[in-house]
Amino acid sequence: MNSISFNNIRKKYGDLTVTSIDSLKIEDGEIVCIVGPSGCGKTTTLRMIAGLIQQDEGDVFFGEKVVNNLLPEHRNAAMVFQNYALFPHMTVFDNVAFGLTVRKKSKQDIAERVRSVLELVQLTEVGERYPDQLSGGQQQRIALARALAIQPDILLFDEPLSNLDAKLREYMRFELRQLLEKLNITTVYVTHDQTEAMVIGDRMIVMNAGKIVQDSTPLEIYHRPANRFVADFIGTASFIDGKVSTQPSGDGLACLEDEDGLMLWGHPVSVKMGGRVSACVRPETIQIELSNSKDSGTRNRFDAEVQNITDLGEIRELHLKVGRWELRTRVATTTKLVAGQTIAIDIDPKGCTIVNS
Amino acid sequence: METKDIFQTKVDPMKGSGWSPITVAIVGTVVVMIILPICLVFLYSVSTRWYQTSWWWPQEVGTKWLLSIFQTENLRNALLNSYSIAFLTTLATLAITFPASYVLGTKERYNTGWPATVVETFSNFPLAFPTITLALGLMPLFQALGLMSSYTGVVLCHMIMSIPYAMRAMVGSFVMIPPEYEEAARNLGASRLYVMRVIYLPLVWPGMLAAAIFSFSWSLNEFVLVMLLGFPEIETIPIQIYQFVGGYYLHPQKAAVLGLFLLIPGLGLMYIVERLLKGTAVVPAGA
Repeated sequence: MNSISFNNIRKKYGDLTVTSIDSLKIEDGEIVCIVGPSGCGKTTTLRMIAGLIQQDEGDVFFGEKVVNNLLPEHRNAAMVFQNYALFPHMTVFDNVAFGLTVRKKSKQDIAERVRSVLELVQLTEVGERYPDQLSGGQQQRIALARALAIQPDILLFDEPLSNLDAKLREYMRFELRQLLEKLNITTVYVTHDQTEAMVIGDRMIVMNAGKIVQDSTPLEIYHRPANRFVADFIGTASFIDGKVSTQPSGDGLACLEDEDGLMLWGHPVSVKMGGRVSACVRPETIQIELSNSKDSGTRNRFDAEVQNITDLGEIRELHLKVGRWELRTRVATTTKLVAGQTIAIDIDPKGCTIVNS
Repeated sequence: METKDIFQTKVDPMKGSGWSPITVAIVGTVVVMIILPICLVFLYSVSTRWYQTSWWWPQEVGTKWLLSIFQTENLRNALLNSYSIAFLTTLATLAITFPASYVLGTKERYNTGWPATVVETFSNFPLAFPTITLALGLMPLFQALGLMSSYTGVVLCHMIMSIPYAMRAMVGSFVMIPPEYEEAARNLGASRLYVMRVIYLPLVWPGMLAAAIFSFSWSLNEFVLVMLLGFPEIETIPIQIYQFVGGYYLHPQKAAVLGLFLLIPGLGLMYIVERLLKGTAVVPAGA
């Protein structure tokens, strides 16, 4: 049983509580991504699993076993570091074989395992080179090979792709997802790049200021963020602030009214009548109505002023002004629009989430 | 000066302005002050006869004095003592300072706390004292422990001085190693001892070499502590040299030959430092 559980974990540095997790459960074989801004406690959480940091309070379980006092070298939770941490004075082969050499495996076993793991990361030819002779992407793959060589119960990733250039990062996260799916090892993957998290994780945990803010599947978090922070951090969002003016009725939608009387219907998440809320408007929920027909019967129709058009080659980004709010959306490059133009837009109420401010 | 002149004179800003007469004079004097005594020691050691009439070269040159050193038992012992004491001091110093430097070098990461800082501060104290003060302080202690005029006593008191220097040379090397290496190694199953042996040792060896070289050459040349705490049972090369130039019996040639046994290793070790440790960050150990 290679599941991981946290129970009332607290970690402080001086007066600052950097991590405060009441309960966390990662099942055997799950790939979980922890995302959050810098300083949110995600790396601390990862290191507590690895045993490199001791929690001040609470228990960490591997399966049914409490591992609080288990030394890092006994945890079998291999980690891939952000800076790869390949030993500079050893060849690639020796680096990958390190965990096996420590466990005093036979020369044959070691050679066999290293070979198979290098094959897995598609770097069979570099065994005799030294880490500083490899490119960043190659070093990262060797770091992964080194972690996999010991056949760990748990695989930990500490922002492994953040030192690579954008193109390589895009390629590697897809490769990693394929590989992790195949391996079926309990994986915890920490990153500040939420697109990466959405590609790699079966499940996503959003952290902020040391606490878990939302824990669900990537799509669920994207479409139904728990609060404004999550809505803002994951994906692109524009916000309209106001108060709840109509309770959720038969179709589950509630209405938000802002200071100027603008009314927006959306899907509510734990909101109360009259409470201060924000509506999270994702770019893809905004539909441009060029025909300018006055009333089509949809609920969220507004007049918007085109403030800014940025042509990004494959798509055009639009900045619109609705009432006092700025909304962002994307349109095809063939759309005929000019700055200053007033257009009609439709916001899909089901795609619009209303959360507490 | 016309503006035309300023622009036409080609001055390479990267080139130094050359050696002025004053620079030559100063550097020359320093070089002579260092080279001359060394040359003199070499000359004396091979001069079998040198009268005042010829001031710059001896009348007769030979290996007589060189051989006589090996033929005299107490001089042979002095040679043996000097080298073996230096060797043992170095070995013991390294054995102690390697793990100690690991602890002090990684104390930030492991939150070792105030005992480490206290030890670090205390370990620097011997550097503040001239050796004669140390010797005077150690005399009653050595008397009580029965370490006076003993081989062990000399090695121990040499260690008191060489450990601070070795620590200063080595802690820096440990601090410079990224903590990720140790973390990765432990994460993969290595114990702390394994990490020290397989990860740190190969990476801090320049610092250790510097510590070893300093320790060895310092112990080899040390006079005061051995004189006050080891003499007359333990005699080393500096003590014998003293007897040939400072006591009743003046024999500069024998002194010079003995001096060679300090000079040549010293020069050799310096060369090693220059060659092997060039470019690596080593805390320069002042004597």
